[in-house]
Amino acid sequence: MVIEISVRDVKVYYRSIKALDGVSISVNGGEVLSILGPNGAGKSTLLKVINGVLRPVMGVVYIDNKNLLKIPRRELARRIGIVPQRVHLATLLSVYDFVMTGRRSYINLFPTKIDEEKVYEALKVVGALELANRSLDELSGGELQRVVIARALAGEPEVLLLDEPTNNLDLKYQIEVLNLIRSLRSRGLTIIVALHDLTQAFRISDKVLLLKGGRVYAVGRPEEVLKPEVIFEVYGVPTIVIREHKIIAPLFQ
Amino acid sequence: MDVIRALLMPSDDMLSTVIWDLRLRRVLAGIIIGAILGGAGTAIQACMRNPLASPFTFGLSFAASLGVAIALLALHGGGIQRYQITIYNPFVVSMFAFIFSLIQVALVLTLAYKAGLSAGSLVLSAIATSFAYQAILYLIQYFYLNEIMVSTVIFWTFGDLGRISWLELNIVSVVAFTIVIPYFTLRSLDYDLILSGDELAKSSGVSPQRLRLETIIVAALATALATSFVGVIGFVCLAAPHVARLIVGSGHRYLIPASMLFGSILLTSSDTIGRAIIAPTVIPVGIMTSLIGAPLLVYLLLGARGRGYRD
Repeated sequence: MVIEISVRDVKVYYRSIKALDGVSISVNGGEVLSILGPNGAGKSTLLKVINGVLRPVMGVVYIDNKNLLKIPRRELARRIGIVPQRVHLATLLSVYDFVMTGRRSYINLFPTKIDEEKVYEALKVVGALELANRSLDELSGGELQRVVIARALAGEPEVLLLDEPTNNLDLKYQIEVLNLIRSLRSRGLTIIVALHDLTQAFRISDKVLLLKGGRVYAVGRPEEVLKPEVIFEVYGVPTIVIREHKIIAPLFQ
Repeated sequence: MDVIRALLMPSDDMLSTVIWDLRLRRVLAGIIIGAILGGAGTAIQACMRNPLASPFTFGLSFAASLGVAIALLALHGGGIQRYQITIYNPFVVSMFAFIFSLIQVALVLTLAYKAGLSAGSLVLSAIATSFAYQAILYLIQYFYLNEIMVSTVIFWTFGDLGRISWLELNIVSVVAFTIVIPYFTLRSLDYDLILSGDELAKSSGVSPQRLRLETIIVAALATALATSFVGVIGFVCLAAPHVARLIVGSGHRYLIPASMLFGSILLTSSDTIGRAIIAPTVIPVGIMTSLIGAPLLVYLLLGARGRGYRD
């Protein structure tokens, strides 16, 4: 179950903009990696490359030493679950139907009993079993985020990619989602998460990757990377780090 | 009793002929075409992530009308006989309508393909090309068609199930049962997926572009075929999905079959009512579906409250 991901010298250009300019990083199986960096640093792009949705101009992503582009799309979909930044809520799917779409890579014609069980199991893991028959647009932000995570888990992935999962959530739901990520780690999932909040990254990560302008600025254990001087150079904001509580607080002038 | 006997043991008497040749053909046409239009409406709405989209969004009705106008102009395919508009060569006119619809769909898809096949690019290119078609149609009507031909074109666009021949009905049925109905049914889970976003679809191994392309081709071909045989019955594409959605919800595993079923019911019942209400004059089914479907849709919309549409 535990799988290792390694990204080697990946470059992605959007027209003339260098979204990723030679990024390398490796994640050991069962670890949590946080991708940090200012807006436009390439966090989401890197997640899309690891997901196989975006083909890099150069560079390779290896999953357990296998080139990602050589893995059949369906197998890849089974191994990697994603939690995107946005989910369209235009039409009113029920939570159950939505989570069932996470089983797509297992379903040939129609969902079976097993698929149904996996959907309920995933909803149980995120504590959203009672929401199964609700409509997606009736959920609160925190409930929706848990359901989107359940959708990813329904596919029984080995790797979970989350793109800013705590955005737009209030404090309570942010902590809920972070605790959920931690509990998923203890189930053996390899987790890569793009985050804005440095304190959150500090708390949940085994490793952090700091991107700036599409390049790796720093990588390592959170306490090695997230130092006031590094944060200042990347974000341009003076901060203090309160070590024993793992808090990074910006200093407002 | 006589009706059942005539159905089971067709003979040469009057009743058998009426039932077999007129009524049954209309009912079968209503069921099959209703199912095609209902299913196509739902599938297109999911692919475009737009509850207002339908196969007719691609300008099929204008394209088909233009085909009819050109068929009349070039082949003198219609005229007035004793206060009744007659199309002399219905099959040729249907084929022209079908070919022009195909050209329209191909045009829209080519344009949208160049722009990346997103939902937005599809709608834009469909709107742009259907305005162009409309302009050409009006131009032809303005300069070249006499009033008889103009009214024939307009008459043609009023959908009428009685127009379809057995051969045409067979063609539509084969397409419906081998391509349209299986395709929409098998793709139902993918429609759930694409509704939630292209990124989720891609990561689950479903190409959103391919799904969109295939769906549009299947839906548009079937709709173009139906339209060229029975005329424009656009409202079924819009009403059936929405009514079905308010009853069975948005999961496409139930929604696709339900909207096909409701399309059939709406079309056949509209046709029956349209024939009976001011008999012997027949109200064209294209008009009747809107007359019946619109209030029904509004009623369900208002009754739904908690499950209604929100942004």
